[in-house]
Amino acid sequence: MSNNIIEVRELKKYYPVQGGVFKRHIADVKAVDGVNLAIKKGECLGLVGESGCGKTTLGKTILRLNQATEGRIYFNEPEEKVEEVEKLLSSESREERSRGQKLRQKIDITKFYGRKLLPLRQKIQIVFQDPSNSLNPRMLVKGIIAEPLIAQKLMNAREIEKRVIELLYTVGMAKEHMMRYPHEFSGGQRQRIAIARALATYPEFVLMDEPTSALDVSVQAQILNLLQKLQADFKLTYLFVTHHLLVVKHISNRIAVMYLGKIMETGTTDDIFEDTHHPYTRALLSAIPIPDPETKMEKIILTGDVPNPVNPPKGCRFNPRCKYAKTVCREAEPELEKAAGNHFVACHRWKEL
Amino acid sequence: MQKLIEARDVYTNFFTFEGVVKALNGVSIIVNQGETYGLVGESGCGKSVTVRSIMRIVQSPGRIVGGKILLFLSREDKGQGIDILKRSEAYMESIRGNDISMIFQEASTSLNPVLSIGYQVAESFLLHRLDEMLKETIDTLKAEIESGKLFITGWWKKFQGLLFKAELKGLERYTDMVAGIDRRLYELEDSTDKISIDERNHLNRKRDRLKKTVFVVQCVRHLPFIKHYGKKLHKTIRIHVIDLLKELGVPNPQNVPDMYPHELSGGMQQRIVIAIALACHPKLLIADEPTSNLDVTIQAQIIDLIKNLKSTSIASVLFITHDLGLVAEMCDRVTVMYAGDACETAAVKDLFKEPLHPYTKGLLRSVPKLKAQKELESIPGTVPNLIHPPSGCRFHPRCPHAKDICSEDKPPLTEHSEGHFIACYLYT
Repeated sequence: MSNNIIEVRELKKYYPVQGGVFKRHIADVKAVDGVNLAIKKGECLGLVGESGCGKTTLGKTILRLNQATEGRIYFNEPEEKVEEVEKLLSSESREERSRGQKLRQKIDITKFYGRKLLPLRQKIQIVFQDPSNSLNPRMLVKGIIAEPLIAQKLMNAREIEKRVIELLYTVGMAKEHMMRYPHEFSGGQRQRIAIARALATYPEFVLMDEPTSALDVSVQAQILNLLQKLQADFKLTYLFVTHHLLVVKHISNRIAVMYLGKIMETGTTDDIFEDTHHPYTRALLSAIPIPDPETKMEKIILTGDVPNPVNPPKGCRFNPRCKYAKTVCREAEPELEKAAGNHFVACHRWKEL
Repeated sequence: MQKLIEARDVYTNFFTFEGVVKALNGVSIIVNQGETYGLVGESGCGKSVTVRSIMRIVQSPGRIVGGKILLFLSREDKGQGIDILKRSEAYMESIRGNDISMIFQEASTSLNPVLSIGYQVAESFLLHRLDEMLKETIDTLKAEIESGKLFITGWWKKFQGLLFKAELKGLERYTDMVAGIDRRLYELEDSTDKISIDERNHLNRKRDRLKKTVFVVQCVRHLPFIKHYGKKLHKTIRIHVIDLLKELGVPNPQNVPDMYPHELSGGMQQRIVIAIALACHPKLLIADEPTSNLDVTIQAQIIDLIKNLKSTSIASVLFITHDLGLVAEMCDRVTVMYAGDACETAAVKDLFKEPLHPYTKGLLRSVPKLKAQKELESIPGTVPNLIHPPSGCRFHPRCPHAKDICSEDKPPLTEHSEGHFIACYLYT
């Protein structure tokens, strides 16, 4: 088995914009526009970015909740196999490319449909942002947590009940909470229920879509601690989507910074926080309010807003807001470049800065 | 330091169907002139209710049931302060937006989607600075007439100037009076005693007379020359609006007044809300979580803007937030609130260096920090239901140092060291 649990290659997700009398397709909202990402087994990858940069779309596309427009996603495939397919797909000869396509049908999860998705759904799960919206108000907690088990047909009724009780204890709740409705719980407890539901089918990979942004600080700390404990206990892999940088710093091993549908910088948490290369990451980091009046960091204040993803700026996407932008930034789009070890930057001028 | 506003033992309750929610349990805060005052706490701890009580805009079924809110304006109080809870609604209307103004949490919901930005910003100019604006309009008109741009002969000139002044100012006053009478009539609607019936009849007659006057004035408004002056007034205000937007860093301020809120991004909407609040150069700006649903980079822009404004045009800021990072960055003094109690008040530096109240300590420990740490400490338990709040100190069920006395009596706010107030029995 390979090192990477998820490998994303050239992933694109466009939402069509329709207009005119006949609802013609006039443009695309390029929510995710060519993302390469690898998530290692057992790690917690933090995905950071402003709202509207496509981080949730990326996460949902990986989970196959959205159908990808283009690109490949491999889940738990051996590295050699992935490399082989990629090589075939990018080769010159037509024959090899078609052979690659055939191989890809078997392992690329964007090509899975219907019954083939069922075992995949068991292994990848999601915790949504706002627990008051993601739990069905008409279902008992028992029903909510049991639902994925019933859908997967993994156990019989008696085993399911046992599993639900076990799950409630693992997330720090009690057996008697089973026969209650979601509205009877506080925000933190609801999020615990959502986590229990995500863990029900013994997943390997869990997408955390801003799980603490609707919670208060003291509750947020409880949930973050719980998530860390669960990760260690069940050897889970997290993709932690958030806009809160201090939370990411606390929980992640590796961070990917996203801006307007593209990855701008990836690296280990220390790389990103101490050896920042990309000017956008720098601005993002300097904008965090630090709860300590003694440390005063120099603020880099970005002007303007995130541009419209329907027609992103030409060249580097960040150039209209970047104070180091030069002609090359306005013309050519930078690729992800290796800066050191596991640290990649998509910037033309990171060496000079 | 001179006090600007003081809330003294304010109790606010919400009389809901389920029971009485005791949202504020004797909160005292003092905002001095020229400082940025922070109010922190988790959601539901009463931060917003505190400032709403200060502005007297607590929504029904909420009511301020006790305490004093003293406003120290240099105008009329002679150092004693005016208790605004005892003043009339009309007085409050003259204060709100003029001396104290407020930025609400979500810019997108606090702007009216069917009115243009220009109209919404101009509203507070029309309400509070009409005299100034009229004077300015008349001055520009005079200048135009003298320079020959506008051709009006002798007696018309005098006649129109007078009529214009009387008319435009008068109409607002009359409509206000009618609105006041309507409100009073609504209050008297159900009462049956003789005095109120007499009053009702009297008011009805008065209202009819006023309505007639308003009608006449409104007709006069449509006369060609008068109409022209009315337009001039709006033009003058528009210039002020554009100046204000420019000052707040809104890109192309000339076009923005004609736009509608949905055409702007979240950060821009928040700037417009700030513009409305700043139109009359208030002495106190209350910012109720102004950045809570903005991105970090936009948040940094808005915070920077408020900081700049603080050094130029507003005297004091009362800043409400749940983000301890923002408090550390913005504020001079801060009050930590928990479940309707003010636990601790201190200068920001003291609070972060030496938190005393067990809740403050817990809160500070549970925030993720820049330095690496293994596990976050959290406060066990959850915020209590305020219909049946815990007796005594409201934090005692979650407090690791709770003693017997904590569950019996509410701890008084005492001064621990200079400027550091704390409500906890550990320090008395």
